[in-house]
Amino acid sequence: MFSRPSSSSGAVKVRVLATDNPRVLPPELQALLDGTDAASRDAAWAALVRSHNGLLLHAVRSVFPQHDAAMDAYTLVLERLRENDFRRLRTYVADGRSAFSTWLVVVARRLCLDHHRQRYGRTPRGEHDVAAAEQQRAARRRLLDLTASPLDAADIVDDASGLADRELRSAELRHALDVALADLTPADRVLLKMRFEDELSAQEIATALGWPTPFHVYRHLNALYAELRCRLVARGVMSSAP
Amino acid sequence: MPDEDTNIAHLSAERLASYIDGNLTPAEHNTALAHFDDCADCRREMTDARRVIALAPPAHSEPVRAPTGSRRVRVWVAAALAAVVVFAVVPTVLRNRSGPDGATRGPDRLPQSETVSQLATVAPVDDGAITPASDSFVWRAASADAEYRLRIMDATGGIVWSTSTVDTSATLPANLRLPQGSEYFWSVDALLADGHSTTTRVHHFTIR
Repeated sequence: MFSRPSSSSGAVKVRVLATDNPRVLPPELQALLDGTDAASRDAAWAALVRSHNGLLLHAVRSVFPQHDAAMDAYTLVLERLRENDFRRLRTYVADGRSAFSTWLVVVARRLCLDHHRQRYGRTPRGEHDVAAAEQQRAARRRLLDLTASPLDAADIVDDASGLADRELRSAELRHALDVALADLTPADRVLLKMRFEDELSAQEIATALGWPTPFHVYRHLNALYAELRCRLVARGVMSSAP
Repeated sequence: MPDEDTNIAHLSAERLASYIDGNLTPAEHNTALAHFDDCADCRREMTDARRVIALAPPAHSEPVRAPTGSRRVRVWVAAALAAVVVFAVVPTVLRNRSGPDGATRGPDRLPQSETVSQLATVAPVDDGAITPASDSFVWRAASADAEYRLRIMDATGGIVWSTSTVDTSATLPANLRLPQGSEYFWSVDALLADGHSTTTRVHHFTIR
């Protein structure tokens, strides 16, 4: 439904650190990969860790907020990066596609998430599914409230026998919303999922999608609500009330 | 690598990092978005990684230079300007904190260690040169919903230009003429959603 907003240059704004050119290996990594003896590689490794330890600690703490667990995970990340003659670090290619710091954050976080799974196990499937389904239902309910007209007082029927009808109506509303959502582009659905399922702020969504400001998010969301409202009305849905 | 529970093949680290840096081709970008639509794990991984990158301190790959004579002068000027900013900000904060009855009306300022670890300038680097028409001032986000004020100051501490934004970058307006080779200073104030405020230290730059 909408195209990605562009910056003045016509491309999505990319914030690259001045010291982190995606086409140039960081000097410490270059020295590490070029090292011909253990001593020079050790010195380069120490320099690499020194220059990136703040970034690595932030990445680790984003998965393990507790200090002791974070320190364990930090040690593990360093071990994994170092093992097999820096095998993982050697896979990074400075081809302009991603900055080393971005790549390092993604790799470090994935190592931490693997460690988290090994240490604590996955959430039990049944419990996870129930919680996820409940969360998804709540998200769709909020979305439906925003896209369908509010409840008219005249529609309220104080009748316990109407319970079955309401459940049927709820199912119909969910189905109508699913159909309307299915017609949207993946980008539109990602935007709605970030807002309603992931419950991200407009600023976080703008950053995640590379949009200039949170106002772009609000504008697109409002346009999407209007679009969904039209589609629901076309399907005979006039109210979000079950 | 397929997820052992859902059997969905997740985005590779390289692809995810390229998406975050905005360097995928349009076709790759659309494929990634379609994957984020199906895969909540990768979607959250992307947003979490972005958050880490936005809040983490920058890597220090540049060699540290010993101050030269002219640089030492600039450091003193920057320190003096920082003092100007502090004296300009502190009375405002104090006014917010205490009314006539002495009650605290405004929020307490964050401890310095917290503020420094979050709000930080990214570009131009200290003592860097910029081309006003094409270069932007970039800083790291202080928090998700912060508002920022960028100040450009001359050597006397006078405000040459300032702007407020919710973004973490700003470009000088085209009608602002700054002579080639002239020296200026910049800093960013952040007003956080919870009412706290914080500021960066003052940085020096020249006009290319």
